[in-house]
Amino acid sequence: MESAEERTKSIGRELLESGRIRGLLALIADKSGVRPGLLQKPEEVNSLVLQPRYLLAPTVHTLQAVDSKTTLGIVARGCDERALVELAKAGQVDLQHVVLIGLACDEETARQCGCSRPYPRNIDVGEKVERVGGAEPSGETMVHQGKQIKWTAELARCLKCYGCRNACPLCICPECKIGLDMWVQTGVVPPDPLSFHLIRAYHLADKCIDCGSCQDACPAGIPLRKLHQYLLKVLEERLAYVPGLDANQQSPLFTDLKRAPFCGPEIPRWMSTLGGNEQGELKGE
Amino acid sequence: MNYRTVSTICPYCGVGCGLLLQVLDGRLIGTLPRKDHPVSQGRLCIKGWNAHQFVHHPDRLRHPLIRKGGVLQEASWEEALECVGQGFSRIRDQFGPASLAGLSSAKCTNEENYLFQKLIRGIFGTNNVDHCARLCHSPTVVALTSAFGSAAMTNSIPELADADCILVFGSNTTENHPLAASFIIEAQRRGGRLLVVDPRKIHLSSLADLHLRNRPGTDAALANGLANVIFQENFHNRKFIEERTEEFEAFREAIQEYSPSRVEEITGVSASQIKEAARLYAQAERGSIVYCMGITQHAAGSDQVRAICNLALLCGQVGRPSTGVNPLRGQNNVQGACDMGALPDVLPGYQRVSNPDVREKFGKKWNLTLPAEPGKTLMEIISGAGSDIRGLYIMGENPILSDPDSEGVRQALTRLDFLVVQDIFLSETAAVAHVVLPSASFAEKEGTFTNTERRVQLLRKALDPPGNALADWEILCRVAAALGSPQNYWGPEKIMDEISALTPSYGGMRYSRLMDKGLQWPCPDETHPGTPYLHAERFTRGRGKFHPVRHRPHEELPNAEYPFRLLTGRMFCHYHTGTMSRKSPALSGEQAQGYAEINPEDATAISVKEGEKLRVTSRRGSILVPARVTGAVEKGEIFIPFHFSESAANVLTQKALDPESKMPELKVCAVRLEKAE
Repeated sequence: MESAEERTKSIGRELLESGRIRGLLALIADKSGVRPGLLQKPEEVNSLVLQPRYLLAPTVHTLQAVDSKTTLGIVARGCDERALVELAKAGQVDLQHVVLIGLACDEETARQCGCSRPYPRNIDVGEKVERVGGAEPSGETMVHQGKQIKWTAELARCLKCYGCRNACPLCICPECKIGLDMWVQTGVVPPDPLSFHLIRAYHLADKCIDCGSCQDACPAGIPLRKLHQYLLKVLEERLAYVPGLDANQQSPLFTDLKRAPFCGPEIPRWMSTLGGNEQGELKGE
Repeated sequence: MNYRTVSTICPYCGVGCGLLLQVLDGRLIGTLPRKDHPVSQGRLCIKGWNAHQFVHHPDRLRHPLIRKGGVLQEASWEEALECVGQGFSRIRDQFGPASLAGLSSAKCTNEENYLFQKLIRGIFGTNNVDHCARLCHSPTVVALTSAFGSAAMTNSIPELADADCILVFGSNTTENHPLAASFIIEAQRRGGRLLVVDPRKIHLSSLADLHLRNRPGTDAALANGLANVIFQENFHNRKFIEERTEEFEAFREAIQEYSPSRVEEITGVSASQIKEAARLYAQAERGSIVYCMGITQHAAGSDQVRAICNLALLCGQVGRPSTGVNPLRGQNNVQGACDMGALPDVLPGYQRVSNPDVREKFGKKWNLTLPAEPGKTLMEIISGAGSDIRGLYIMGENPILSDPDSEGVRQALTRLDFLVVQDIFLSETAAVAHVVLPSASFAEKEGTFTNTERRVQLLRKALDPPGNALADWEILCRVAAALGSPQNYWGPEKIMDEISALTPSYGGMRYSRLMDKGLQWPCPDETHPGTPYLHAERFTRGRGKFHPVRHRPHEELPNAEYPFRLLTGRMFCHYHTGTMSRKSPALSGEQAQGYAEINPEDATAISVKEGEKLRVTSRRGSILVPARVTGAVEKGEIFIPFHFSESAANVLTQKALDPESKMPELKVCAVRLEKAE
């Protein structure tokens, strides 16, 4: 039987030969090691490999920022696809110009990641493996006092490398709040855990696709996914929303002050002190 | 659209993490971690993540510069090389080879350091070659060689994760070697104990099981105190001492007087903490010592390193995985620059210049005559500038900021007849040169770096240097030719072949073998797999040697006129003199300017508040620096990182030298403080 790698290569080669894509984002291996690359000629596809898992979706974002009209292919795992969907929702990626080679993760990879959805919607390569060993996050994760103490100890290890933010496919704000002295004192290690880690967690509450890139990049080994998984759980249980599944489904937290949110508490009156009228309309809009 | 990632090595610290430089249409747009790198394993620190940021900085040197009418002016390579050739030849002919000297660079590749010392020794004709290792781990080179026979980290960085007890002396690991710290943190997760010896409260001490907060410069006394307890309580490893060490009796005598109570008096660390730490380290199955410049940058640096080696020998905590004595080297290639003989007394592979057989071997291969007399050290070269030393060639170093007594260094350099500086930016030092040669950054050339765990790793070229800048090895070949001795290498790989032919520990290093993981020396031949940890069956010198060490107080202690103790060091988002990190927006955004940590009680006493300017004055000079009020420093102490030229800590520091290694006492001096008006 054709291996997953061979199958990916032949699809990639075909896409390049047919001219449907101008380049294929994939992992490549040579004597300098394994790294992401853009394969532009069919013969370059020979160096394609599938392991280790390395999120490629952020590179689509990077390249489309320079040239959004060139159609690129990408070897996309479930996490890559979900990241692209969220990037598309934020207007950062044009999915019209992306061709996915959908790769279902093998059982070992899925287990290593503790992934709850180790496959994309359309599978071109590999066999679908259902949720494997993924830790079921508990609604108690952050609340219980004993756990709070544990979290304090975990976050105290932070080396402030910003690797969690840098590796995240969805941390794309042009001016990142956790890098501003106004929110988190700069020049000091470890950063204040509440402002540094919780600002990030809340910013990603309705975007996180649980790919684990933040945790993989953390030199202090902080189990950052647990932090995000808790918020995702709340989002799914209370608002029936899962990020990354449908590019046309907007986040329930995504609202402007002109319209009341369709669920959750009403906006209290004191919010009009920001300068808007009682209907919540801000001046100048 | 041309996009690729280039696998290379981080240009900042000695951990040597694996980077992927993202190149889009000929420009660096980002840095990613390498997941398959043996040390960094898909993680980086703040400096690594931003390693690309200074490369395209508009201040990069693009053309050679020659001083004409007192001003540095753009010139062609032909002009500049002719000027360099004539400048050095004239001095050599008039005053003799010993009037020339060179400072090599721990930021440059092994191949470049090798060529540099070859040029200074073979073509200048003097052993006056040194580099900034003098200011970080020269005591390590002296003391580890005398105790174990090999001047390098004994074990590999990832092995730290499996240690049951890690004893950290004078290393702010989470800030200055963050990826090494990641394995210390991992060891704690696996149940290992962490003991941190440091005068300041640092991030790592806040994570530690025990923080032994000693007075600065009392590490030898503390190590002796630990040894005293270990011996008194019978935790020493008799079998190891008998079979693998020598001079134990003299050592045993020397530690008698370091009872816990006396050591408490000297160090300020309580006797009970000393006892607890001693037990934890000695009884660990795998005990590892990590140390850094808190140990070495003292006038008693060599002795402090020996005191640490004694501890490992006493407990037999060396020669096995996850044990050892592990100096964390500062610069990305300071290990390699030392290995390559950019030192005044040794040729590549620590082969002594005083040995006629060694000189003959190198002289024959090079077809050059080598001087026998060991050369001057960095501090001697600087202090001799304008008298014994008339001409100086500096490659990629910035001694005005990195060396003690900045103003003294600047004046010394301006006394030279001829100064050539080769750098990627017009550093404070380059600004006073006669000729400035523009070189390539780490992203623009090939070569190898040797990390702190002796791993020789390939650097790969991601793009061309800006303007007319050239790789340092190419410049060195041209300078050699301008001095009448052309060096014909078609590339760094060819230079490595010559290195491995002459350097036993690099004997098996071939570019074709280094691939993606590199090789750890000693690697004597082409089939050797490299050496993860040293001294397994026997020490490099045969037996491990105990050295009796006594506590020596600092030469410059606080007094009525200078009542405060200044400590110097580094911080997490900058690197050394800031030539690279301060030109990286993400890093300068994190910390734009210098600061002085001051204890709240002292701040109140001189009524200075957070952010207000302090005037700090020592016997050498005076600086203005904003106050950072924090309990991290004890009352009577202040801490200033040395990265910032406008509040340069080294304006204040002193030149008292360690007698053996010539390391200046950079860590401490006495100062007085005033609130600046």
